[in-house]
Amino acid sequence: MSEKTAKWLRLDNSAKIFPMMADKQNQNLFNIFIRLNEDVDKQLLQRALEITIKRFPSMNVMLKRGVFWFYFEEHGGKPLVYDADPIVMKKISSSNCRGFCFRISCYKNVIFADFFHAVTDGTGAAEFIKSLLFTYFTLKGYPVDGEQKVLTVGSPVNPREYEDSFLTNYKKKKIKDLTISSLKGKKSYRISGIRFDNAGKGVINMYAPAKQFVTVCREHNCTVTEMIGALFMLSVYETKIKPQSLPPQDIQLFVPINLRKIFTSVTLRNFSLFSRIGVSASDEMTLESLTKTIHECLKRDTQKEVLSDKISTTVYAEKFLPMRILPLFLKRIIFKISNLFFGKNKKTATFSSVGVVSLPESFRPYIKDMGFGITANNACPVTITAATVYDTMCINFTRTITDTEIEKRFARYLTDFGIDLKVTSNFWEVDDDALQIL
Amino acid sequence: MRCKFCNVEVDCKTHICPLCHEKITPEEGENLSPAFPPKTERSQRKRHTHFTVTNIYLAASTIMFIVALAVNLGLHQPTKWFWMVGAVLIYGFLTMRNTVMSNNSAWIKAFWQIVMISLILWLAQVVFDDVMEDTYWLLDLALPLIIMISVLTLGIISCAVVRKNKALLYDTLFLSLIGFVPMILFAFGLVQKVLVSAICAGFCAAVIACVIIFARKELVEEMERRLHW
Repeated sequence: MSEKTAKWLRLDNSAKIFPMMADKQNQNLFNIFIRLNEDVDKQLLQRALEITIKRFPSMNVMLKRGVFWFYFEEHGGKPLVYDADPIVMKKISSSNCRGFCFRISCYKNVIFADFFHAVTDGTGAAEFIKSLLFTYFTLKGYPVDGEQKVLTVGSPVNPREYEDSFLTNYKKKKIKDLTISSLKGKKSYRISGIRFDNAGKGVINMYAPAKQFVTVCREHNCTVTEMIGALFMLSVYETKIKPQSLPPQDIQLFVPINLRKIFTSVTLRNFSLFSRIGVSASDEMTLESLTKTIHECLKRDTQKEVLSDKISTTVYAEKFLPMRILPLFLKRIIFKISNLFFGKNKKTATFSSVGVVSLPESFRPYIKDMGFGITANNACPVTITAATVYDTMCINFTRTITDTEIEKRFARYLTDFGIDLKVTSNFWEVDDDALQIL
Repeated sequence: MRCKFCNVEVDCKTHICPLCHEKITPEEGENLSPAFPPKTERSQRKRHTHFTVTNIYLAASTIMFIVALAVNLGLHQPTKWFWMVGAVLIYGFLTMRNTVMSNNSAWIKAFWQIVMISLILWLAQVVFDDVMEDTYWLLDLALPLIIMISVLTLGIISCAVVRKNKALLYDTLFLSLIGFVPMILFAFGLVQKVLVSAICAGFCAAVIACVIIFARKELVEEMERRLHW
């Protein structure tokens, strides 16, 4: 990173919105959790973090407020490794994370890494975590090798790693050629339930052998993403909509699409757009019809031309003169008001399929499993993610409501297919007396 | 251990199934650890607590204001000094919210302090009008002095920490611009005696010149990042 860029960075196009939408309770966070085969050495992890952060200039930043936009300023301090908080994906603030936009914490054999979406997306965060694990294992004295899959501490920093790939792939268009309608959502069913009366979230992780899952998908002639999306939609319908005999409404999934492969980008900052997958909920929904619908939606929304149009639209909005000259506090007010009126009930859930996270084979003896999670909030009370590491697929459910009916039905589908499921939870919905942990 | 109802294996230390919450029995020799840190009393505290610092301050302020009001009116005192008590309590509240607990820039905090202190002094003028005969002392003397003290304080702090925090230079520059306000008021005939206002404007102009001459590079960098659009 050149001296000029080392001091401050503009937020990338999609990151600009996240600090503006954050409020006292909600913040766009996601996390990565890694279960090791032995307890985490917190002091070594701290040393590993201090070493690794130097390799990632786009992560070594703090969020600052400018007159027109937020921006990142180089962070002079050291990030800390914390003891994991019982509250999953607790809000990241300058007071609890020393101004960094991420938080590394550990509990027994689990490493938790929470990220504010403004600083990076799942792919960028995974690269950072891989590097952190590599440094940690090296300090531990384990014989690990990066195998060209890890951005090791000594490797040179490619300036393209911290570019705003939205801007580099932006093609100037006239306003009439922009696809603004594609970014709008339709009114859809919002999952209801009794909310937790504290800041906590319920988390259930399901671990399945990847080979078994792929075999089931092949039998149904669909991909893993299509299968999980379809089963989730069916679970929502059967546990939430059907029992309440609600009038016909759409179930809409909000699926982030990683643009790096399509636009050959190596950025570690945000570079993803989304696809909205909507179906009209009814008894006629079948697994086959849903996988077909999801396939068609994803096929349509992952075409390079469509994505290029969406990039142009979002960048145009950022470059739109009245938007640029509006002071930040007015922008925040406008965004919050527009979100209040137009942002609600536009999605049923967020479903992020990260795919296969490529870890070096030399890490395998030390890692039990790994997964991703996205924060849930009142507008989107349930989120679901899927990621595969080595031979294990982790499906994560994060929710702000107490009941686990959707997860239960989802697990029933998988076990009926003959998939061996392992399940963990933070039991946030259960009273301490009933829980009797430890 | 398995949940026979859900047909899943439970992979964390627990006595109940994460999905159906039915009781499950750990198998012999099984040594699982919890997947997440256990809940603590603090983590389960309700989101909306009434005993926040703000609420306690507001309650205490209300009581103090009522007492002041009762004493002032009860003793039939001619000066309505309870308004001053109210103003100082509001000032304390706003200082806590906009200065102490705020992430705003230093110049914005200083600006609000100038505004709030000026308003309190204006209220003092209104309340104690029989004691203070000269009605122009606030704009002629107090306002320029408050601005000069603020600029001087911020200037000294920014000089002391300029190596660590260059952002304060930008804040000092912006705050110094407020130094010309008394002269603008003079132009509109609101200020009678121009001497202190002129000194204030001159002082702030000197501060701006110093910042531009001695820290131009840092200032340009700071302006670039703060004003990027």
